[in-house]
Amino acid sequence: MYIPKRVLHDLKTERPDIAPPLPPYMRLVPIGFYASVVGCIVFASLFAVQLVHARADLQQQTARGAEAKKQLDQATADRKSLEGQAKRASDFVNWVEGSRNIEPLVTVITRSIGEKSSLIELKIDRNADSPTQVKLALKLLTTDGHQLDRTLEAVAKEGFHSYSARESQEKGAISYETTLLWENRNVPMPVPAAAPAGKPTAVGK
Amino acid sequence: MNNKHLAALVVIIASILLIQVVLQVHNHLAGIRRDADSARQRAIATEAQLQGQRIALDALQRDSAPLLAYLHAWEPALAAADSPEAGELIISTLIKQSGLVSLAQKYETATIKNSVAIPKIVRAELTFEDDYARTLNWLGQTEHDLPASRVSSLRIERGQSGNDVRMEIQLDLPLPSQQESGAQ
Repeated sequence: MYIPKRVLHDLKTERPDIAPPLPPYMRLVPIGFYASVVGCIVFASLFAVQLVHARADLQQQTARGAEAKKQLDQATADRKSLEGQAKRASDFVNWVEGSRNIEPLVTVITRSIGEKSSLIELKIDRNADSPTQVKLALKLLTTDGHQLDRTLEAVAKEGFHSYSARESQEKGAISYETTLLWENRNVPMPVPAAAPAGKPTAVGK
Repeated sequence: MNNKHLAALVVIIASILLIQVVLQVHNHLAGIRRDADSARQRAIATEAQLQGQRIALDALQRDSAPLLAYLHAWEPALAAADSPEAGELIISTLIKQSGLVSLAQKYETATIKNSVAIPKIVRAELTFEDDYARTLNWLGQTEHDLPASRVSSLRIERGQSGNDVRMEIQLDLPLPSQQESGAQ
């Protein structure tokens, strides 16, 4: 482009002499600048793509952790609930096991009384701390020497094991006390819907 | 320092700033990658915990299945009475239906220690004097109709006349606590 020397001269301000040239190695400065610009563009693009992937990965792992935590909380709640139910069931089992019917025991005792004997008093008490144990107290008026044996045999046939027995005689009456333990106490009781053991024994006159 | 030096300095500073910007972006990327790794580790740890919890839950379900089946079978019978008034009504109805001569009836609510499922019971203290067979049949029928009831004390002795017996009985009827929501 042609620039008239006169006009250029007019535009120039007054200044001192031109500065000395920079040393040759300073040519690296613009080269470094251009290289850094190109490098910035390349690396920034690369990092931007990786950043998108890293953010997606972070989001995915956070969601995965949250889902696992949610399921863990649910499983923990289920376990706690199940433990509560098992404890409840255990309490019920303990109650039911300590509530075996007394009427069959009373019936076999009264039926075992012979003609020469008379049952004055029959007392049955469950142990409050261990209701599977039954304390039996009998008062018999009898002239039959084998009456008590027959009665105890009938009780044993009913499935009770006797221990800590105590017998005393006073004015022809026999007082007998014992603690009865259900021999098959580890066998679960039948459920009420199919409860042959629960059916009452009809007592005739 | 002349203008050329200043210009070179400005270019050097601009280059450094550009490099700094790229390094900042890289640091940001590294931070997000660290966060993602950390989240992955946490997720893996939580999944391992979940796995352990599921194994424990399966074992508990397997072990408690017979107990729970027993519970479900007995629960209707155990829940026959949901309040002291209902328990009292059930027992007094059974007595009325039998037509037994009742000398005394006393009802009270008692507490059971260390029982979550059955914290309270209705305790009926009853005294009858009637025919021997009728009285024992009533006892058997009551134990049949109320399979969850417990005869905690019983005393039978001769009655005033004929074939009569006097029966003093302490009958406990459970008042189960409300059931919580079940496990899946």
